[in-house]
Amino acid sequence: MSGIVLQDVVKVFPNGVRAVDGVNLTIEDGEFVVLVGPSGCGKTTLLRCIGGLEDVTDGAVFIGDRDVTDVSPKDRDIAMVFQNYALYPHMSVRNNIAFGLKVRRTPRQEIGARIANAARLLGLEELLDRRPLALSGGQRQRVAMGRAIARRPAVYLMDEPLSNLDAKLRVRVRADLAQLHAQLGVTTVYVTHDQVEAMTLGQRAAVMNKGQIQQVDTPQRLYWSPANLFVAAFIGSPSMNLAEGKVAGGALRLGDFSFPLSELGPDARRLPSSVILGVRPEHLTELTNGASGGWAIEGDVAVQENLGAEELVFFPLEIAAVESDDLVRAQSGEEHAALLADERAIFTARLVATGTPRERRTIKVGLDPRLCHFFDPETGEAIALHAGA
Amino acid sequence: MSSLALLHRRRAGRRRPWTLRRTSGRVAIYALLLFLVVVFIAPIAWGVLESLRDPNAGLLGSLIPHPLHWSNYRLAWSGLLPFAHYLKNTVVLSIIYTVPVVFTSALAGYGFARHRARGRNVLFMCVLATTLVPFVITFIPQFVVFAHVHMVNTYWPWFLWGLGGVPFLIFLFRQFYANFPSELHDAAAIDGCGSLRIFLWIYLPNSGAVLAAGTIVMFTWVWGDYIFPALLLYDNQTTLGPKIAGGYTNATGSFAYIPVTLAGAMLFTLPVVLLFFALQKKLARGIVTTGLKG
Repeated sequence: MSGIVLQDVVKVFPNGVRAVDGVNLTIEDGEFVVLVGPSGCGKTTLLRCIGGLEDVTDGAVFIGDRDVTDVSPKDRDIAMVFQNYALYPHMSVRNNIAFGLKVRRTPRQEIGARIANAARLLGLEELLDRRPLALSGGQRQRVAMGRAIARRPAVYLMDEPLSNLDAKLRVRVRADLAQLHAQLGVTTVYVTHDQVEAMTLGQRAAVMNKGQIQQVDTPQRLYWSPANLFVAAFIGSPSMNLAEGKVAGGALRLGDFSFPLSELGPDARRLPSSVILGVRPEHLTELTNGASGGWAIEGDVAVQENLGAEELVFFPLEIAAVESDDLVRAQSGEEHAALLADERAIFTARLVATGTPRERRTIKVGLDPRLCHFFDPETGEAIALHAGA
Repeated sequence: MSSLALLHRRRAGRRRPWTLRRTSGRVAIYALLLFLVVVFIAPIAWGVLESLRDPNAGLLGSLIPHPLHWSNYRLAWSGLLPFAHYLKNTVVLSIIYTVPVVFTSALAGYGFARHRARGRNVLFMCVLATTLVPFVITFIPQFVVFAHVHMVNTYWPWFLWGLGGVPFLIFLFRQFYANFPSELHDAAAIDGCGSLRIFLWIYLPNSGAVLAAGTIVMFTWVWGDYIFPALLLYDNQTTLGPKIAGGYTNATGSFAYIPVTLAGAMLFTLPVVLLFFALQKKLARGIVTTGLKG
């Protein structure tokens, strides 16, 4: 039994920064949970609190049935993989893997067996006598994994272990990690700011912002049923399109566009008079000329990005953009934000590539009401309308 | 290749013309450097040349002695003074001081750099402030204490001074460890190490450059020290510093063999030069981060 329980965990740094703000989280034995969020959201600090590398200011941390809040890192039965790998530069790969075992006075024969096992699992057999200096980034990452695996701890903590790898290698190692977890079945907490890692690796993911967990759920539910605007904007790339509208006369008005609420069914009555509509870029479909009816919007294409099989089309609408600090944080790194500094709402559509130039041309796209999300403009909380959503 | 890269390449390939201003500037720089080389090299060169003169002729004669009296080095080694005995004393004393002073200074620097404790910075300032106290003020009480505990004419004072560390070295190690990758510290802590073990197994083996610098500075200082051995050691216990400074003389002490004294001084200097060359490579290396991302 090596689940993790965080009870009201608070971490305030001496300079007054409240990095973790009352986090409650239960991670089951053998579960792979991803802590995901933008830079500075407190995810790494929370991981370090679990590992004992930071003292918690308030609250409690349990590993298994044991309260480890005041227990030193070495006695928590954990292993950690760091963003920079943190391999001991003066030791060979073999000694890096063996170090933790030697410190714990593991019998020499057992150490040899574990090194061999970890090396076989990660394909490190040829590298055992090399120093970290003589390894590539991907090899160092595998050695860091090997060091953690050989320890056979109750919990693995991983702090953005793939962030220093190139894109192709990252995809491969990501698959390796998932396979390793399936083989080893050890409780794993994985920190990343990359939502693709969060969606592909985690059995559950906890989305964090300002030191608080916004939503903990399966990747699928985070995508399909975001609990609030922050999660909606953070999960998915490009971000969910958001625009504030008014509900009146049986229709939702978004600037000059009007959407009949009858298509939402009886649940539409639950919408307040002012609402934020959210729709993901991949849920917009291009409407050919002359198509009418349903929910549709149109605008002049400002930028078109060809991704090969798909293309991203950015078009501003004559509606004020939904703005908040949280959304800026959630959407940080989004290309269109940099491409189109505009006070208008910039909508993005992910369409099948046709090779047709679209820039400076008008595009009309349809919205499927069943795939739309609605949020309260005051609280930012989601308004659930669709059963099962 | 971008136009910017091409421009840089063209600029790199183009040679600046040797104008009068550029030539005179370059000449001035080289003249200054040559002067500095002469200033530093001249005393050593003079010492080497004088050490080869006729021991009975003093310092008179041409700049380059003829014939060269290599026998002065044999005399310096064993003829007039049991050089090897005092050399052994100096080596022992230097090691007795250098090893603990470098180790404890590193340990203190590690503590100041890595351990959060209330008053840490104030304490560090106090350590640095001790350098402002002239040694003569503290030496007399220390001498009295050493005399009371029968440590005069022993090497214990150097060992104890070594255990106390040196503010300059503590500062050096503190700065070095403050920039040491904290992930290595965290990784070792999670691997099961306590603070001392992290220092001994992770920090110390990766401190080659600063260890080399500290060792050279401290070894050179204690090796060449005249005052403390002269005040605390006598007879057979003393070191080469006071002995060489006293000069090689005839049996009555009425005539000083200056060339032999200089030959002794050259022999005395040699181990420090060798130590410097031995540690030169480590000295040139910076902080080791090869276990981190590359």
